[in-house]
Amino acid sequence: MTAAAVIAALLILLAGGMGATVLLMRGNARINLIESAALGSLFGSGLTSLLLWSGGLVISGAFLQMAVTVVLLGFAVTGYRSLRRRRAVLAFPKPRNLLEWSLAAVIALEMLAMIYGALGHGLGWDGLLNWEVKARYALLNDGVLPAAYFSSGTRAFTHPSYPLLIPMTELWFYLWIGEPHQFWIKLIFPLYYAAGAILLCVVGKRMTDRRWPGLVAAALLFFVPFLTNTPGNATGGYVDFPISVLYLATIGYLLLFAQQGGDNTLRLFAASLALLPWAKREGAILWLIATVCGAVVMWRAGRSWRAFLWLAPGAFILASWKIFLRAMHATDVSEFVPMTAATVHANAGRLSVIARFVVAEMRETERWSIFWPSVAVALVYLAWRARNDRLLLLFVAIVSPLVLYAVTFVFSGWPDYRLHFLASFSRLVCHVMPVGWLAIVAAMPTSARAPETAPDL
Amino acid sequence: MAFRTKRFGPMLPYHTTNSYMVSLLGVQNGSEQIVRAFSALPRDKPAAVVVVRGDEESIFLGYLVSYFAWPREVRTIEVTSNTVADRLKSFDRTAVSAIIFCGTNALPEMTPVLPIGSRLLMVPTLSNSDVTGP
Repeated sequence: MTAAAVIAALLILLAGGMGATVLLMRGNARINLIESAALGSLFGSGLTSLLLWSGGLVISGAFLQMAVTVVLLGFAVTGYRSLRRRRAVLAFPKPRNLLEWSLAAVIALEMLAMIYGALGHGLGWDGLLNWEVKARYALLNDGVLPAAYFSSGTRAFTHPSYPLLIPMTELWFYLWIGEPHQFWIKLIFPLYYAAGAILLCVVGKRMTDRRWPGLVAAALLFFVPFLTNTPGNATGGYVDFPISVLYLATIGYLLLFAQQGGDNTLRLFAASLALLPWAKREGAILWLIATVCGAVVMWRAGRSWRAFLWLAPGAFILASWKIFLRAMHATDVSEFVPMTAATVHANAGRLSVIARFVVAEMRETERWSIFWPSVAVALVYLAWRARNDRLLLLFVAIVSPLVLYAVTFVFSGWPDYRLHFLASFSRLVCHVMPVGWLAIVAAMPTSARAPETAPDL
Repeated sequence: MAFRTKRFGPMLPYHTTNSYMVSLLGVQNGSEQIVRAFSALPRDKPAAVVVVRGDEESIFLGYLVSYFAWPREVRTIEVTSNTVADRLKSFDRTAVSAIIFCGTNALPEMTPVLPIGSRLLMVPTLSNSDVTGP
């Protein structure tokens, strides 16, 4: 019975997300089924969590669950009707040679291994006490996080001001299961892994006009040790890997828009961008960087002012969440001191230590193997080959979050900021890791043969 | 490592918290025991957890108790081995429905003590009329 409820929750979430994706891709005559499923899981999670949160302001319990179900199914039906009306087809991109079959099989096995790993282990400390706890409390309060939760100082350790993408997605499953369930809830995290691997394949193909670079990157993603051997791993219930997949989608579609244009690509970029600040507080930094990049790309593409409105939804979500927290008198444990000139002056000496720690983190092979040195080599090689917009965009998208994240430790409120850095920086680095793979993909040698013209990717 | 595992599950609602409690408390169904203990207490009266300052396991146990205590407010009393008696003597026990000791012993005069594993002790502070039943 529980498994049936999990499947129902998953299918409705995916159907709503795929419906939204198809509507965003409404100019395409052929839609990649795998890509729309990957985006469907991301947008479905975003849509469901936003609906549960905003709907919970006015209704609760079975009504809330029913209302969200109706809206998600509405997206699914509208998306399907849109497909029918414009006679677009959902195409499944089959591998076409032994190499592609082999890589696709490896990627599929890795996805299964992620499910196996997720179900064999519990949630990590933060996965339980920062994120899942919110879904639990909401379920025990008729599907809505109560105002008392946000204002109660005694639960500040659960960080009530953290955004709700993952907790409300977890709540969706709990509403269907009928109780909080720490075992089944772990299934949502391999979904993000699968979405990330698929998006690497899709964006990699479109960036290089070859399938194999994206397939190779997706197959190698699994071997970044951080995803499997750290407390903040891809399936431990932390938000760091899910937000990294959203950032991959954001930057990936922005790169494609810069390269090829297209309203559909712009809309997919905008939808992914909007969800960044809804996933984690640091998502606001990623959102800001991607928004600036997006604005520059659109300006250079000569887009009208209306196109710039696509940058607004993320700001709207961020502002709404801040207003909500203020209205709830939310309390939180602040790990940082206010950013003032006096603090900068007092703590400026930390910068050299932080810089050394950043370099050490990038060279840390237990967590990253040779991944970050490979990204550095890829960026240098791309700069040597051609200094173009794509390189600049990749460089800014990879380096600026790392710099901004590192600089925030100048304002760490921990008694020892170095311990704070060591406890959290590697998880912040994870946010950028899948985009780092795009740099490696872009640097992969592709022959001078005419590009593949597979219409289905 | 996430994939060094030989089996799924158990496929139970308290999969994660029970696995933490097996290692921290040496008890199999710790989550169910805490839930059962709280179900006997009123929902509108706070509980208190006593944690040992600087002891990560004790603090984590305090967080786990708070996790299960919802919707009750949970007041944290931080102690050291030298201050536990003084802190508890000055604490108004009538303001809470139970005091839960995480990684430290209850004072000898505190009874009854409901042990949950080796390092978690719950001391209800209510009269019989306050208790809502298991």
